[in-house]
Amino acid sequence: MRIELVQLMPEPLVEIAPKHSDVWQQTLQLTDGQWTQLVAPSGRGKSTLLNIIYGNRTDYRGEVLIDGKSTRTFTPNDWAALRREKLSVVFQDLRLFPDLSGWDNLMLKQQLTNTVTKDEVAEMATKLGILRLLDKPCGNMSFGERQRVAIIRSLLQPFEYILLDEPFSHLDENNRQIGAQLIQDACHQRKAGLLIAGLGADRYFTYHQSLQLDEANG
Amino acid sequence: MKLTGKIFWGKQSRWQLIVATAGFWIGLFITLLSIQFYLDIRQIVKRGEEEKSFIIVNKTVNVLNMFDKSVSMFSEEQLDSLQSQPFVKDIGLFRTNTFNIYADVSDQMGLAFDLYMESVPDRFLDTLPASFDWDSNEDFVPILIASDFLRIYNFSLAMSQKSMPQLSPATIKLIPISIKIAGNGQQRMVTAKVVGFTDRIPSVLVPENFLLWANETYGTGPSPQPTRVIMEVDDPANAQLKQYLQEKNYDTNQDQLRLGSMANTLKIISGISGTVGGLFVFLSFAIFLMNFQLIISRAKTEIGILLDLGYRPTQLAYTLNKQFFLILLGCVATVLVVEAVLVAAVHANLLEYGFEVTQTISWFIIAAALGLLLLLQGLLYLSIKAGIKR
Repeated sequence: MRIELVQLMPEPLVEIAPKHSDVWQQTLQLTDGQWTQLVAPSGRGKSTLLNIIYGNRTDYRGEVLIDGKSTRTFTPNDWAALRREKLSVVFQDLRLFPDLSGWDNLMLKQQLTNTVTKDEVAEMATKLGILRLLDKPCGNMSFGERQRVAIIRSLLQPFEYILLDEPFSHLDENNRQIGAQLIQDACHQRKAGLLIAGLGADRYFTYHQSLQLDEANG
Repeated sequence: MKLTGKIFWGKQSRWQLIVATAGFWIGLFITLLSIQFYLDIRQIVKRGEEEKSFIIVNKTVNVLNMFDKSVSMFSEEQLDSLQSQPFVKDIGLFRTNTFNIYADVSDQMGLAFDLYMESVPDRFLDTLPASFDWDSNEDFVPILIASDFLRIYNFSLAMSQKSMPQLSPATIKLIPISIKIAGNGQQRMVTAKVVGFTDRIPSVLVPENFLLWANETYGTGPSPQPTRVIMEVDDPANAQLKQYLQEKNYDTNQDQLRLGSMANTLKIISGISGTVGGLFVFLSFAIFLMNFQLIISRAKTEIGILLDLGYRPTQLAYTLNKQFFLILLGCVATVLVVEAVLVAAVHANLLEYGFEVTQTISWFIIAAALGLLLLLQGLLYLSIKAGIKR
């Protein structure tokens, strides 16, 4: 899958736009299987960019093309198909159901495409040390525990690109390594591209490119 | 789709759902009940309205009549005058027998008695059974009697005389009555049967052609002028009519006039109940829809997350709609059942008081309930679609 950003500029950032940015008002491509790191301090639009690509925001100038097609022309059903088959995500706010148990949250995704068996789900949970917590409602988990549920959930589907928004922010170093390994394995298995947003440069993955959203401060 | 169901019907919205459902149930119940009430009243009032336009007129009986019965008769001029009044649509003359009639039901009831017969033109009858027809070749005469006579017999006579059984209308119709008609030096036996009951005319009625023939054949003397006249009027409450009757010293069956004003009162009441019912429909709909819209808008976050996970909007709309539809269907079904039971009970009661109402729930009610169900389902689907679109 190929993601193209054409002269992209989110409306809320128009007033405070930096003079130089690798992304805003530029034309660039995230090519098939490419791994990209996106670096910027908070409030510079990292989450906004991921939400624009994922189709949750339309308040921007310019265009986003996915496989050459403007996402503005996508119907709700197009988005549903894309999110089931080609594009996965870990949101910064995780987007879990607080009333459902961790396991139910995972099954909600697992049932949709049946790409990963329940045993494999349990195995990932074991590696991340949350298997015993999965019966608890997500609302009763710590943010770090929820973050691990969200990471697992993002890997329970086929995808050609995965968007990660500060996925390890509340994990200890050990769990960061495990989480990164799980994501890396899943991506390799699917030959998928990856776009990760973070506050600073990290070494969890080997990147093809690193983009600064805000060069003035970066 | 069990898990999605769990999300939408979590404890967060359970109370709202119960309240909304209860509100809808009660609203639907009251709505359908007031429609039923309206239909009942209309049924009763309609009958009253038909009745009120017929008035039976006779002359006031006073001391003079005791010496000369002909004082009670209407002369041709008087009849012409009556016919020509602007408030009179049509008049019909009562004919009565001028021969002797002797009825014998001693085999069945141990009774034999002198009888009289009257006739009016068929167009003035409120009930006209197919069998109310006389053929000169047959010895059978059909009879219509006033339902009041049956009531008087059943509740006064039969109650006070141990030997007399109470009789249902169906039983009465089975009893053959041997009748001897005599006069003019001839006599003949005929068999009569009650073929129907009239609420309009307090008399014993036979087909007009039979009475004309019998009076001619067995009657003594010339056919007398009628003493009673039935007339059809536009409005029995007409002031001119009242004045005319008073001036001429005519008497009427006042009950019918009273029924006329009762019908007016009932009409007003049913109008009010219809308005109140309509208001209830509107309010319960509004409350119901608002409640469900609230539930849907509170599920907005959940819908958003499910869309993020890749669930199709149509899939979610179907899941949401299915649940709502089942609730609506359950409400409609239970309301109809409760209503049917209630109607049967209340109507059985009404029947005892002499109101003729059907004991089953009206088809119109069922159709109305299904219509409301479809309308609500349509509105719901629109608001679900709007809610998912965000």
